[in-house]
Amino acid sequence: MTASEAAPGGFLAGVRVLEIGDEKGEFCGKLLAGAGADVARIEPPGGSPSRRLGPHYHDIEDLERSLHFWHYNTGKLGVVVDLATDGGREQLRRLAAKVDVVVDSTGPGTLAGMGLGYDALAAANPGLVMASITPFGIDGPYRDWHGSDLVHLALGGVLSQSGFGAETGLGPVAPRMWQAAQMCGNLTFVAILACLVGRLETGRGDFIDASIHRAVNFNTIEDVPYWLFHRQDVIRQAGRYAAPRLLPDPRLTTADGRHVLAYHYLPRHYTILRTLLREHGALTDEDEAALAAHPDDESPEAQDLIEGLVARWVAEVPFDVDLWRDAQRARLNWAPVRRPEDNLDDSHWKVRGTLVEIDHEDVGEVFVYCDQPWLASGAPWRTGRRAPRLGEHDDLVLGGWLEEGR
Amino acid sequence: MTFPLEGVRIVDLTWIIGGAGGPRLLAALGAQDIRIEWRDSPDTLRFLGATIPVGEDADRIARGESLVPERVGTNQGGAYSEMNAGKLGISLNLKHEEGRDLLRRLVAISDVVVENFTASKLASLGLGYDELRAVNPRIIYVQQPGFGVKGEYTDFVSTAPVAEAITGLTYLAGQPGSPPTGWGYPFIDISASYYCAMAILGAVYHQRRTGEGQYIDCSLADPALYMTGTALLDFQANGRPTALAGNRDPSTGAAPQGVYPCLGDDRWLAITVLDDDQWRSLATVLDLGPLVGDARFATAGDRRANADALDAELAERTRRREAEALMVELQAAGVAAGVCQTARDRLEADPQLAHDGAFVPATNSEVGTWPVRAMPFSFARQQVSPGGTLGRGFPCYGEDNDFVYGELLGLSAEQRDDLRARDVI
Repeated sequence: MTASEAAPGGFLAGVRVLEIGDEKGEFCGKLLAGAGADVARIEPPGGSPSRRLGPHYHDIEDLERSLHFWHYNTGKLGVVVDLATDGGREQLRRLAAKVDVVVDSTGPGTLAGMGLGYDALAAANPGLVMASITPFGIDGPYRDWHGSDLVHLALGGVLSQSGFGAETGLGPVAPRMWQAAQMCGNLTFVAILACLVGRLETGRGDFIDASIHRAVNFNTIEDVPYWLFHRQDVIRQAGRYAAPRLLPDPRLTTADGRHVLAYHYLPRHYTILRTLLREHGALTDEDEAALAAHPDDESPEAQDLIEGLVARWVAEVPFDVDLWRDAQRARLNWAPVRRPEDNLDDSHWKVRGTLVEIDHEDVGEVFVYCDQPWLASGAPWRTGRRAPRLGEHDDLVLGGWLEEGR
Repeated sequence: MTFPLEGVRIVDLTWIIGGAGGPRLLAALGAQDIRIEWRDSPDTLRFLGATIPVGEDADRIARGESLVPERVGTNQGGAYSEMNAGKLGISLNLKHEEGRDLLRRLVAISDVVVENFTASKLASLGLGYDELRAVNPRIIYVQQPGFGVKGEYTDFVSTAPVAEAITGLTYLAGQPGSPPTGWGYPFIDISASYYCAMAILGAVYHQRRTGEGQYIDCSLADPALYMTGTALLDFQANGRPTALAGNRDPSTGAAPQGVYPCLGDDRWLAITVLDDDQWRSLATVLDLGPLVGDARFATAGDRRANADALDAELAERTRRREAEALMVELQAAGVAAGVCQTARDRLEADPQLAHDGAFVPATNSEVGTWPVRAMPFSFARQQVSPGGTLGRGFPCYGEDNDFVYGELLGLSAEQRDDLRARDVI
């Protein structure tokens, strides 16, 4: 399916959004656009700072070639408004009177300092839902502190649990790809949707103060209850979830140095593995004899023996052979440690419509994006157009939206 | 003040984290969430992970002792308490025909049914979308097996590590030369639960405007792939495979950027330097001396090219510093820095989270009052609170049977006693 063939709509069809600021608000804006809202990405004349984030198309740094900007701005309209000028601020004030939602990541107090804060905008548009996305919230002791995605994952508790164990001296390792910003974008989108539902009853909007620091702190799970209820720290351990004790490492290495996760923890898992190894011809006569000598799958000796045989088997087979599928068909909890792009050719996602093609006529190519995080029968996700060029939709928004009597 | 979702009623058949987490957000936003369990197969999260202490154990924890509390009942699930705060709790036997009738009666007066069983479980009980839509055409029916309902992996075992590994989320964390280290907690369980909440809210919005219900197919795996950033594009546009990059971020080119060892046991400080001004500030705070003029580190490009050498030099200096003090000093100098905080750090020593009220007390009728995490946003005008409209923590098993079966469904005390005696509720 290509974008042009995708059903129009989305459950937020008809909802208008202004998104102002940098990369911190873009994931929330992308979700709003996917849900069907018309999202005007407001940029300064020199372009959003996120257009400078890499990687770039063909590695050529150019405002129109940032893959970061492409990815995080699908489905949006590109509009230039110069907030450094009186005229630009007046344009924003007039636009804000005509929209349903404003997503602001310009920093605590920035818009308010221009007379464009929530109180001023809501006075003219009581139904406005305005979300502020900032590193540490709009007030408090860290209000003016500097964040980065890495720093947020550290402060919020992800890093103390992720990476190499303390005994290695190698330290925590952060998941890449702007995960802290995405956590906050997800939760801010939830808050905006709740306000839009509430507004159907009351006609009133609201102001949302969302902080990346709080969003990351909110995202972890067992570390907080273990401290609250046991006064125990969880132990960081590579390839596993942090826990009060060390767990078996599920990572097996394939013949070509890739990895498969294999979880076996019940006796029946080892019974299944005996069959699987045999079916794949992975056992020698000596192995069979050893297995016959340890017939009880509840015994640690049998389990260790089988784990060893499985590791040897996986180490002889290339990653692409997909042993994990055979294990899954036998009801084992196995998975390949894929790179994201390994999924581009997997028909599971194509059948679901998780992966869609978006036309980049600007560079004469079509690219596959992941652009449908759930399926809905009634108001489906809307696959958007490619990210806008700088100022591409100035006329539509600054002309059309402002002229309409809404 | 009102909650934005007052008037939205949810029949909650979810369990564990990925399932129960979505409705928990909606309860905090004011929805009335009716969490259903049956004693033969209660939520395993009641028995997994941390245990809420009771009695003498609770006193010892309050005195600051470290211990593994004894589990004496079904209402001591630590993570369960967070994933189910603000919900009503009822017991209902769906293996009993009268139990299934009661579920249909609840569906008739609700907006949403949400479950994360295997794909065909409820349909096999005669409680699939088609049957429930016949009871209530406005109903929103949400399924959430790990790989979703549609697609060839729907019957595969799909725990959080599986969904993270296959989609590439695991591969986003690791050091070159070592196997990927991945996420240190079930990131996709909790994060996919946000997407379940979004899908429900979108459908409620649609229902309130059109009167139409709908069927929703959620998963762990689709949101996981959705959150892999620019990896798909970089591969297609530039032929560049996703690489393990430690704590460096090729998208910003920040250098130095990393996690540096500090004084004490397993204490680490994350630092990001984006430009020359911040580099000079870092040099002053860490007293880098001649390194400032070192040609290897003169420009951002030089610092990137020689990042290993630079990181080694920085680690030599951070090792002698206390992490919190160095963080405060660097932030005052305009450099992004943050301690790799543990749960204890965040609960006891984070002034911003304390200011925000990021942990708030919530009361359960059996284990008493303990903190749970507040929603990570606040409103100017409306209310949001993990205790929801009930203003309380997680429900004990079957705690709200009288309210739900009595007040909402209009069953008399005798009828409820009879259903209880016959193992229906």
